[in-house]
Amino acid sequence: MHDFTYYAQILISGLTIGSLYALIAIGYTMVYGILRLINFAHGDMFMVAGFIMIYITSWSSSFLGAGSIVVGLILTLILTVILGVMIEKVAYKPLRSAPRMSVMISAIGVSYLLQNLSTYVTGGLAQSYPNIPWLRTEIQIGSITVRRLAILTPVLTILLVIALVLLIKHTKMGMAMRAVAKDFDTAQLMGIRIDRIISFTFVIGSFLAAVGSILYFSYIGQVSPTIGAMPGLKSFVAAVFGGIGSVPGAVIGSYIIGICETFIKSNQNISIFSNAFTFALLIIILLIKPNGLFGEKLKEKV
Amino acid sequence: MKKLLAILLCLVMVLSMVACGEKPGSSDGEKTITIGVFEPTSGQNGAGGKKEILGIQYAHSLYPTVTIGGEEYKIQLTYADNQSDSSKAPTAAQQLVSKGVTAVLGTYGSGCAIAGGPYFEQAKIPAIGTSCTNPQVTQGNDYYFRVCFIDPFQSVADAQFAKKQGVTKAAVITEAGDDYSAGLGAYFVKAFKELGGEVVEVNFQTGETDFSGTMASLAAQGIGAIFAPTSIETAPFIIKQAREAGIDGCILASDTWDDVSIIQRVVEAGASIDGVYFSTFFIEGDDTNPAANAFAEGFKAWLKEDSARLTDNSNSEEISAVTACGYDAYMAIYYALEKAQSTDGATLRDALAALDVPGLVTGDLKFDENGDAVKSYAIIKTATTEGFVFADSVTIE
Repeated sequence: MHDFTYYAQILISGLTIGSLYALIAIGYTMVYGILRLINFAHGDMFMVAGFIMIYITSWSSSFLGAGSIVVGLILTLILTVILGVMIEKVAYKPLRSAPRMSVMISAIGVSYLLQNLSTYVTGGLAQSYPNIPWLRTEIQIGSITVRRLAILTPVLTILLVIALVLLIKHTKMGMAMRAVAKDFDTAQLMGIRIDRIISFTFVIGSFLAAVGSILYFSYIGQVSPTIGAMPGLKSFVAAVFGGIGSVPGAVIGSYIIGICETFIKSNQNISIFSNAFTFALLIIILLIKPNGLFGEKLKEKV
Repeated sequence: MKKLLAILLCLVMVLSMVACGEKPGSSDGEKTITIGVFEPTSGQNGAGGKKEILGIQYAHSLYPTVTIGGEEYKIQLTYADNQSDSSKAPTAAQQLVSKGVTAVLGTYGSGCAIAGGPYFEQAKIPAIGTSCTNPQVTQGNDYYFRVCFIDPFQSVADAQFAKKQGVTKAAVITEAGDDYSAGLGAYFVKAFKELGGEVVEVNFQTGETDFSGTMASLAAQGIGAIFAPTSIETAPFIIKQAREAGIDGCILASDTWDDVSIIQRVVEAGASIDGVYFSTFFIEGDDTNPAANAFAEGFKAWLKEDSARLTDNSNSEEISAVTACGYDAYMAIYYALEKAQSTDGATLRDALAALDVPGLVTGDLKFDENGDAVKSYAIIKTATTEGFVFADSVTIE
């Protein structure tokens, strides 16, 4: 009924959405891999990164003009990373020896804190995200017209994921991270500085969330205090779907969810079920393959 | 150290509780009437709620006292934020009831009005809806009135306008589970089909930001127009993504879109705002309505007095129709208080029901047996980069 261009267009949208989920999902999956903690504040940090960008560009545009976007991008990345590490130091580190449930509740607390704080600071209304003209330029590929952003997002995501996998597989830091993920206590006994590894994990997670936030909000155009919740939740589902703790799993899970969702939305008879699909998928995967597609088998230690 | 911190935290909490406790009544013999403002100042429609509050505050600044039984009463406003969320609206409504307000003004968004309405009715507090247009707001609720037109009326106006523009096939995009959006969508579908048009219906979940799949599919089906009665926050996504998907026809909407922040956000996102139309209650510079012009002039001067007011008006001097509704709602309760010469809920209600005041900002003030304002025309506005301008006026018998 439809031609090739139509499906290609939808597939590209799906890839873009999937990539954005992937950038957030990696943060979830890495923190889980190392700390066995579901960092519920991750989606909200993504939102805060959006507001940081808005405030910095509007503040610096008075004396920098067009350069404010560049300053905004750089400072957003840096400040989000600092925020991520600070959250870990303040809300999670003091609870390192506490039961896992306490840390999780602390994470939920941080999530609400960020949401309410941004409602208070920003007045609770949606604000326009700075427009990056370069990303909006249309380009022609064969018969398909797309914006640069739609192409850049998957490409950048895949490059970042490759870099991350290389880092985990081939550097000393990566080896230490794998060791900590395998066995927290033994790694500590072997002389690995746990706190440094954990901080580093948060640096990577926050950095990717900041990159994701720049791409996501450029795509949709505005930020509001509760906007991080839905993408956060879906990325979490993607991370569980791919096998929580596994980086490639999170990426593949994100792409599957992003593409399926976009195709469901393009059919108006079932478009209303796009969210239901995502969460039904979570239930099904938990029933059939509780460890996800690429999850390692976890042996409970006695 | 930890103990000290715990004690400190306790102290902070206790102190904040003390700060919350308001002094009941005023002791210096001055009589006051408290009117509750039931409006969202955050959430999906926060921008609209703030603009309605501005209208209420402006009216309050002009008429701060009312004389009842020879005594002068000072009118006080107290606020409750329903967060644009029908699940949080009951809490906000109960807050106002427990403060013992004489009447309630608001709200933006029918979902919140429907959710809060029963609490006001139970407490026998008359409520005056500002821009909640769903019929269910006043149906079966003796204490809810409203100064705006209702959705079946508004949808017919939109459908007739679409027809006039030569549209034969329209897409109706509504938010699932939102009384306002779903109601308007259904009435539009009915009205447009009766006019011989073809309709494609699409639903989305609250908080949806990505319409690219939906728009691609609608573009492929060759639709000539979109009717999207949605929240202010969703509007820019729909406009921007429809244009990006190559849908060139007009984008129609309802009274919620009468908010300049939509233009600002669409333009800042680099998309075109042309071809966006919506039905609404009020327009600035309407020469047939002197009350509207006087209001517009006075309101603008008042707005400029305080930068916080300008911020609440999306940093613009454009007057939203909902601000006019807020003003008229305050005036309705003001006239009712004067007429009833009482602050008793039931007496006030009867006074409202019998009210007949000509020449308010959004037209004459007279309620039908449901408590809905009797209106005969809707204004269609269109968006330009400079603001909203008059496009058409649809009269319905």
